[in-house]
Amino acid sequence: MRKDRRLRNEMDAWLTAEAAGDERGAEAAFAALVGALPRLTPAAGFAERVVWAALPPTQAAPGWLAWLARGGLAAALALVALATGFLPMATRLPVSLPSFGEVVKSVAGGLAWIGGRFETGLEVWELLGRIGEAITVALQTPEAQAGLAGSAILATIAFYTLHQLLTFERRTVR
Amino acid sequence: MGTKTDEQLVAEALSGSQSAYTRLVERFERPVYNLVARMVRDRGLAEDLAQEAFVKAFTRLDTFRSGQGKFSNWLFKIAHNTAIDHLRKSRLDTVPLDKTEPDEPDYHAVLADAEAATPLDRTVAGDLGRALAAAVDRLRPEYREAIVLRHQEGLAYDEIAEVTGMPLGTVKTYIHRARKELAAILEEAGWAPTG
Repeated sequence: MRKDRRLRNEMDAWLTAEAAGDERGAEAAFAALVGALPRLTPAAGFAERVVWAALPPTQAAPGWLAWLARGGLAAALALVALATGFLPMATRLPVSLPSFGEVVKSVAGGLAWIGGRFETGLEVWELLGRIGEAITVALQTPEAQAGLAGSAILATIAFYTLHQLLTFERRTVR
Repeated sequence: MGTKTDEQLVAEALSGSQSAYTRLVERFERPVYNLVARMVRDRGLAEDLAQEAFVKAFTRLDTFRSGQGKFSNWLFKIAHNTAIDHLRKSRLDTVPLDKTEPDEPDYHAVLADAEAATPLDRTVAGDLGRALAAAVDRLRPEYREAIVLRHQEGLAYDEIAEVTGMPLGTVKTYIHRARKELAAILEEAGWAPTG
């Protein structure tokens, strides 16, 4: 009510000055009236939403998240250190753990298996190479080379014709 | 240990201070939102546009030079451009191509029927504040913008000219016309000086 009363007074002063042709008075009263109008405000949380939208995710992430990540990493490293440091003690536990020698033997066996697979692969590759060599020798005859050239030319003509046929409809419709 | 100036906050924000960003937004959220909302006459849309304006401002915060003017005017300019871009786009979406207007700031084709209640304010009998706000809503967007910047944000005429990109004479003309049109609207609605 008080705000309305104030606005009413301002508006009266302005409209009276306008009616009287008092430009200065009307301008001053109008300024007071518009200044008295309430400013529109955004919904609650606007500033937070803007900051989240404006800043990169790494900067806008809350501090506790970064601490959580650091804590998790530290815990993981500590566990690894613990396991490594206490490994000799673990061998005294009533659990059947492999010895170091057995571990080395297993690793060596695995590497040997992989090497065997490589060897088989190399044999296959060598066979393919010999087949290719034989084909190359056969193609060195003039008849074979002429046949190859003729096939290439025919294939080029065939593809070109096919392309023209396929694009014919598109060209004529336009 | 008083309140930090805008330029100080900008410098801190550029150094990576999130709290400085937040303080800048909190300091200007109301003026920017008010300006945009008065221009587009839709609260929900105004929030989106105001947010867009702030994001643009912070993205190019390093281009602000304190020696070239106030930070507030720089921010208002971005808000003005954001709102104007939306109004122009709305105009392109709604006006048939064969009736393209000359490239002038005439937004009558975009605005809803002036007699209809806007989403922003509705006239309630006996509520003078709302009646005035509704009357302001009936003005052209550039008139609304000019009187808001002048009489609510306290910008000088030359500052308004800088923000809006309009000549100084045009700014003064718009404010004068806004006043006259508003008086006519209120008179038409039956508001007259008491006593």
